Amino acid sequence: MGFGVMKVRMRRDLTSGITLSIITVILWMMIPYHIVVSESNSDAQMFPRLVVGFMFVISIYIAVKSIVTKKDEVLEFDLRKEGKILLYVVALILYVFLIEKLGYMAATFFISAVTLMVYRTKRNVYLAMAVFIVIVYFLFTLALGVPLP
Amino acid sequence: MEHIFEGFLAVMTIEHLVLMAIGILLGMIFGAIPGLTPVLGMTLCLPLSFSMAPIAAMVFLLGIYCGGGFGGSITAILIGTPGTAQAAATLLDGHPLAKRGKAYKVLMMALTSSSIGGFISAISLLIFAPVIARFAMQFGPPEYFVMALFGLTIIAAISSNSIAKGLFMGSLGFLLAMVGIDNLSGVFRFTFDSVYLYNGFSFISIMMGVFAMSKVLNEVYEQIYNPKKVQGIDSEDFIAIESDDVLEGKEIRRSLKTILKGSAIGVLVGAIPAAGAEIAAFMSYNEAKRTSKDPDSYGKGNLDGVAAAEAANNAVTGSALIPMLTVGIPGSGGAAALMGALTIQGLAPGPLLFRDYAFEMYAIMVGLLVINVMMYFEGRLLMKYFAKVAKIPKEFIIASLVFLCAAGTYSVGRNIFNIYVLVGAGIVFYLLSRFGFPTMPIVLGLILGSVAEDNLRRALVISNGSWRIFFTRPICIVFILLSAIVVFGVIRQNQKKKLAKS
Repeated sequence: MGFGVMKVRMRRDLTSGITLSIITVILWMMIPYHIVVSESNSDAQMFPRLVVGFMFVISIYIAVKSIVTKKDEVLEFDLRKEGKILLYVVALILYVFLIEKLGYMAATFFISAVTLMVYRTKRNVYLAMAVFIVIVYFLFTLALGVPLP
Repeated sequence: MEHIFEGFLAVMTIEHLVLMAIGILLGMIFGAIPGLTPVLGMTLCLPLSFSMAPIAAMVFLLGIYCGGGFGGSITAILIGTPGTAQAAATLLDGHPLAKRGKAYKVLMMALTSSSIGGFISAISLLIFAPVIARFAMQFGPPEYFVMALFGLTIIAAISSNSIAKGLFMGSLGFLLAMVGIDNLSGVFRFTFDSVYLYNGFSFISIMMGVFAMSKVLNEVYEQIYNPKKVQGIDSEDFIAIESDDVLEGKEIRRSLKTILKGSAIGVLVGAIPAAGAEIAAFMSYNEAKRTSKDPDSYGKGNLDGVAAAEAANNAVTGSALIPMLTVGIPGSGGAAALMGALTIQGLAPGPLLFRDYAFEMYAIMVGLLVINVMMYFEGRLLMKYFAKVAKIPKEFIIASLVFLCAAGTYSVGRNIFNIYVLVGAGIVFYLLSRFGFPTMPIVLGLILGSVAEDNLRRALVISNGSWRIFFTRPICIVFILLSAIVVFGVIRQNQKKKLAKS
């Protein structure tokens, strides 16, 4: 990993291989606590262990291959731009939270406005979007009989 | 024959015909908009299908599936941007011909060959699926386990430049499928004491997260990193359709051999899990060019090139359903969406489907035939309007995807938790895709997870815990060898590509 001015570079497969191998080790350790078995049904853990073990081996393979072949792709992250993407991700999570608190239609106005702001679109697209949201809301609640929150 | 006739009567109701027409319309729209795919359209419409009866739900989704195949070619021909990856081969000759003022003729050729290809493929499904299902009745748990691994291995191998990454994602799909109460022992697995997880993750939420939400995030990423690249399509980019340049009967007759050959290629390629419509279209295009008397005209505007590509990419639709319906192995995203719909309708795909639900199965297969005929007339009537959907601003589509998915996934279990899963899946798979991990194997892993696990455990009970059972049964050995051949073949091909690049 190397740090530049507001930029981070990392080797794609090495980073993903190491990160995923750590995650799979954590998953492996979680198995006895989240799949509690007795003697009679111990095979409920067998397949999860097989799969997680296999995922660990593959993660290590991806990382080791990157080190051995030295042909890994270098990804460059512009921290300022990544920050904007992160803000959008936060807005998405907030959207679900707002659906719970304010209801589907109000929350949808919020996330749609945020999405359109990312694209700096024209005002008439905002208007068309508002109309479309109302149509979708009534389509689900009235026509399809799904009472949206 | 009796089953086919009963199926025909069952499918020819006003309700089914209207649903087919709506499905085809939606499919063409999703296919015509560059960046959207018929699979995404099917995923978005899956929740709508739950309230329908099995035959109605399936013909509706099959309409989207088939309509999307032709929809992609509209934008490929008129603006030189394929609406779907499978229309890329159509673009090679379709766009140059359209630029010469033959847009209507080319679109008609694309529509005619798509419909013929799709029709032939539907017949192949009708003929071969029951035969293969009868053969698959001999399968026991060891065969099903090996088949599930075979399907996943092929998809992992083909869907990415790195087989390791494909296999990782397939395994992650297996892992997600384990969440909930274990089918065989009743043990709670990774439920975190949440009642929402007792039945596992909602398939729809994960599928929408993988296909739609990660797409939204990828588009936002593109817009933030390369804002100039993402722009709407201007009116001047479109080639106008002059409807006086008709496609004549003799032109169809001249291309008929190419269409039939392309259809045969599409049917064969479609039956192989993961091979897909894109490969079929290019194979058929290359074959038409190879056997043509005028191969130099290909790529500059040869009507046969359009016919070859379109016949093949739509001929994949029916045959791709054969492995899904008969042994429960979906070979493509579209087949996976259909399998999800069937499962939720209580019709678990597999050989028993043809014994226990023969009436529904034949109605659905006959429905696919009808859809291809209907697509011809609907496409002909509405062709010029579909071209205009590509003008919808991209930001409008991206913003709509977010709340359509939220509404769709909420409607499945009527709980907010599903929307959290949708957003969570979207974020995770967006991150993984940035690191070069393919998304397709995870959907297959999710579907095949319980098939693989349940049958592995049953097989080990039969064999008293010995893994030798998988190496002593002929069908298992054949599929293990086939998996190995595919993996080594793809590894060698990838190595060759890397060598050629360097």
